[in-house]
Amino acid sequence: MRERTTTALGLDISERGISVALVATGAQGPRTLAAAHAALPAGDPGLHQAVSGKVLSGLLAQLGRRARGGRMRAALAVSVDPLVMQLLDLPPEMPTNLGEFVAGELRQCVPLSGETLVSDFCGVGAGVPRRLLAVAARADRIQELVKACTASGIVVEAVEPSLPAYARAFLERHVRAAHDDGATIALLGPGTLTVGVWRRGTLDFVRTRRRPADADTPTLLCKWLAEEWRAVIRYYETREGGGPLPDCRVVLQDGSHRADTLAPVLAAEAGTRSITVVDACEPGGDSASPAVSMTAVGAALGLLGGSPSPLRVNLVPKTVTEARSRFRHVLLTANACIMAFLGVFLASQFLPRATGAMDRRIEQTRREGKLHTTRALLAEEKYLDQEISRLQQEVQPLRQALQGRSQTPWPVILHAIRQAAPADVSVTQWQCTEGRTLQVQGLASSCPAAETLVRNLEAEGLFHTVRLSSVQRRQDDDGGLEYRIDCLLKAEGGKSP
Amino acid sequence: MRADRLRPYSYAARHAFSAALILIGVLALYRWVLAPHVTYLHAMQRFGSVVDRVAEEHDRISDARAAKLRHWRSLREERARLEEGVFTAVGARAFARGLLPLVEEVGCLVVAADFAGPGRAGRSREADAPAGIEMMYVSLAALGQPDQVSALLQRLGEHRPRVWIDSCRGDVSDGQAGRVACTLTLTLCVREDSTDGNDRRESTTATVGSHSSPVP
Repeated sequence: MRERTTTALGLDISERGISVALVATGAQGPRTLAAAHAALPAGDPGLHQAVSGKVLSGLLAQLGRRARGGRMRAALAVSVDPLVMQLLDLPPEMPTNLGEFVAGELRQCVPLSGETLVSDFCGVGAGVPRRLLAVAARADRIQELVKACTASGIVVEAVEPSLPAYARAFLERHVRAAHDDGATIALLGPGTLTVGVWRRGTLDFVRTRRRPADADTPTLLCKWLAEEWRAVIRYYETREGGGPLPDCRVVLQDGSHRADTLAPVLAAEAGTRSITVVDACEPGGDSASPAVSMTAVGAALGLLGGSPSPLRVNLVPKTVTEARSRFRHVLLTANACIMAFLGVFLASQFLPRATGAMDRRIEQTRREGKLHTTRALLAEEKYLDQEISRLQQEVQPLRQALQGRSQTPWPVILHAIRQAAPADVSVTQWQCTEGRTLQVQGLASSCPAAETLVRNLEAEGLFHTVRLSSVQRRQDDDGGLEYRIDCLLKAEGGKSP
Repeated sequence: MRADRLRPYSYAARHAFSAALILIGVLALYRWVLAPHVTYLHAMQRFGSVVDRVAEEHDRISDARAAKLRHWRSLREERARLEEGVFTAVGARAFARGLLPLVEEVGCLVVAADFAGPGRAGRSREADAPAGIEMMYVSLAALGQPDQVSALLQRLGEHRPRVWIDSCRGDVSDGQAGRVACTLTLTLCVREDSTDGNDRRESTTATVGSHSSPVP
């Protein structure tokens, strides 16, 4: 049992009605959230799937939205005819295959002979069980009920007889209220009477009897019930270590009698007041609350766990289990296939996009001409290397030959000298060597006149420096001056040499 | 139905069978649907890396080519500029033949002309001269008015290929009625073993002086 589940739906389906209860567990123990009951058409001993499905859908609608959760767990308590419950004492030597042992014992029951059975068993008592509770019913009847529930949207996880379910709910309340874990419960159905005795919380006795056909009046029915009650008492009196029986609780599930009319008659017939007669559905806390089926509550408690009666039998047919397993398997496989196909689809979408993007990038590079012109560029680069090498070989001797040579603007210089000479200064000689220095000689009337020539030459802007290097007065009659001016020519481009 | 056929098998076998079917289906899908794309993508990735390398190489070569092209053009311009100062052997001979008529053309009087140069041979292979270049020296003494001397110097300066005037001296004396005795030392750079083919090539880069007249 998964403890995290706190809410479960219990269903009680008998031949006369269907009850549902929504039960939740919490810190204060289990509580019934909602409950509903509907009677099935009288006179129809079979549970027709269509009718049950419609009734179930109506009951779920009454429970409201809380009962429609997709993950709601549901347990079904059934009282069908025939349904066999037996307590089997295990032999001292434990059988190797316990299942086959139980099935062999159940096949010996007359009501189920020749039928396809669905059966289950569980250990009774604490510790290593020495007794087994074996339960069997017709597989088609149980399968029919499960299909009806499935058609209504209820996924039934467990199917058990009504007696253990009712005992679970009753003992849970009885232990809390009176700290008593013993009870004798007799479920009176339309065709059978099932009696179970719980002592110290453990199922100690169980018996299923068919109702006599002539016990149709309350008096006859109570007489038969008292006789059955006395038989159980006699069994316990003759049984070693039997002890007194717990009080008996007769639960009416047949739908044809009422507890308040049957109880005094039964007390009179049995001669004891330790027999209580109750209806299957107990009234709610107030008059507005619907009646709650203790059997449905017990079935839900079986799923929620924590009950004092730990009987766990499950009559869900193997075909249903296999069908659910197949469905889960198919669902899982389908999901895996869908995921695989989705992955392949996404990959098949992504890969061409990635390839396309790369293709476009390569195409862009190709359009830019980088692919087919590289070889031509290489050839051109090699040709340029050869040409540069050839040109350098040609240029190098020319550079060496013409290094330091400059073109002196002689007409301009001569014109500048003539323009710079004042009237009292004459130029008799000029001489230039190596295109750098210019020496100007001549006669001047006076030193200031020679200085004027120097300044005028400087003003021409053709020379880097103009310097009056010598002045010498002549010894002849006129007394003029011989001068000599040294000029340093500007280099080509106007820079200093 | 397949479900009925599966019934005898255990849950584990059923799950294993489904898992195997799914695995086979996935492998088949991969083989037939995805594998061609994956193979193509891998090929494209390899081709893309090659294309990237080629593009990078293309850019590198293109940059280097542009730099070399600039260098080549600057060398061509420098060669053309330098060749303006170099005579061919034929051109040098033509210049020598046309020098004296040029002097007289501008109105000057040739006093002396020495095509062997001052103390040197006319065409010499100097020790520091580069291979393939010879120097030709000319000494020229002319007499003329200052304007005529200026014109002579201008004609020589405008001559192409260039004539290098190494030294220039002018003397003015009273006895010469204001005329100037000009003494020039000219240097011509002559390319050795230059042929007519080279002359034709050089004619595209060198500008011959408009006033130089060939000697008949």
